Amino acid sequence: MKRGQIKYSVLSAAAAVFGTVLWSRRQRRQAPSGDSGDAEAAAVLPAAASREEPEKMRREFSANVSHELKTPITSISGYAEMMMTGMVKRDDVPKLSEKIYNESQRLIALIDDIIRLSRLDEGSVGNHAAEVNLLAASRRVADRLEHKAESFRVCVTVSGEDVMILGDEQLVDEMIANLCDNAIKYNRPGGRVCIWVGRRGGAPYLTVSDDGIGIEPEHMERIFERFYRIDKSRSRETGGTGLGLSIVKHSAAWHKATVKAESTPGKGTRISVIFDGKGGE
Amino acid sequence: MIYVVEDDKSIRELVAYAMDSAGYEAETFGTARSFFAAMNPSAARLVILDIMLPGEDGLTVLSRLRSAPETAQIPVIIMSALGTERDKVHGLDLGADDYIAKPFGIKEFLARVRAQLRRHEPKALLTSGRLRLHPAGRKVEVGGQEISLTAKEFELLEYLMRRAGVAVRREELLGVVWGYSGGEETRTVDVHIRSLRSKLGASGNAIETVRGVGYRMEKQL
Repeated sequence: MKRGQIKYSVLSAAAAVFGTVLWSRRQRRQAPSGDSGDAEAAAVLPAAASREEPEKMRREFSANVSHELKTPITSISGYAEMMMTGMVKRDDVPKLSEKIYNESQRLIALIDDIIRLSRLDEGSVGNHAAEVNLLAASRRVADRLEHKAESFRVCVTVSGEDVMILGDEQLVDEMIANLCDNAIKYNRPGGRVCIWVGRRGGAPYLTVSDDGIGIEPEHMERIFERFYRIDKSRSRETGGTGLGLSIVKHSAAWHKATVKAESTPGKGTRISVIFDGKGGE
Repeated sequence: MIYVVEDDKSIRELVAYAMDSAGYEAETFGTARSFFAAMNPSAARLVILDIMLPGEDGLTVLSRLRSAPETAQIPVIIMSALGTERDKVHGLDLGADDYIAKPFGIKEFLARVRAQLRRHEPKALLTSGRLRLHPAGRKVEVGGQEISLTAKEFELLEYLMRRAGVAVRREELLGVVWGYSGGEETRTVDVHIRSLRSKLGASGNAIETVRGVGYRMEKQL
């Protein structure tokens, strides 16, 4: 076996093990408490995939992780090999180096998201629940994503009132950022994204809505699934990992919050996170 | 024409670049639907198929190719991130000629492409005017007189005769006969063509130089 092959099989084995760990931990955590992300999502989204056999889903997930990691690696390794062995014309080197760089960035984003999800699964995040101001968190996310929004020619606004929840600041931040990021990416030039924070029936309520491309009904019940993408090439172009909404779902579950998704194709999408009265654990 | 069906844009471009540098004409597609819409069965020399495609998947494409008489004979290489033994056995049993798992080495990939193209060349006698070439016996005759050629000269002549009437790029000849891909070694081809022409005498004129491209075997009956 050559060195390159060893490296690859270690990678795929790691991916498979990673997938297994993610799932077995998730199952363990689910069983006693009954507080699972899937159940939360299923309460809102009819016929969610959580009804499927866990073993089958676990297998599918590790196959997916393996596939998602191998795809950018194939390009990185292939372009590098061609450059190394003189198959590439000198003038093409900058263009192909850029491809290697972009594929590496894609891989980094993917690994970050997988690690984020695995931490959520094993419950090793957010052990220190504290007061979090949802409006202030939303403003911070909007500031951070301003540059990206400009490049997509989309305008992001934040409105509402100061609402405090007991939660994990970083998880809340990531949750809002993922929702806002999707709303920017799956939009059109001149589009708008509105983050609203308030209370409904006493419960803290956060909504991210856009007037973007919307989601067809047949995809609605699957958008929270890991690696589920409606338009794979668009997701790729905009740097999506296919894990963003899954992270949102799990962060919400940690806060005992419910996620509600509504969408009209061609009109836009609204995703709401409804916290319970106190929030946090 | 070599057809490539792969949904990942970056890998599609990678394969297209590798094919081009090896001198092959390739067309790439992101979906099964666009592939079937554009494919010309009589021009297809090889199909390279990814399995996990949006819409119709690669294994379904393979079954469709195998079940239609005009496409049943086209060689197919599966190129997939599904790399377990089970996946490979399944793909090969469905009728794929070869299976390469991602991530793959470009040199290995191109060697597998060459192997498929070679295996599917017909073994019958090739003729061009007074020139006769026996692929199986590796024998060349001009006007009934056997000519002694080196292995490389023989392969060069066979490849050009199989594509009589078509301009073949130097890079393709280099890849097929010498196993090189890319680089600046194309003068090797010129040197061997010169020697081949002189051995073939008057029949050597049937090998035409195509300026800036490579060589073409004159089409004769």
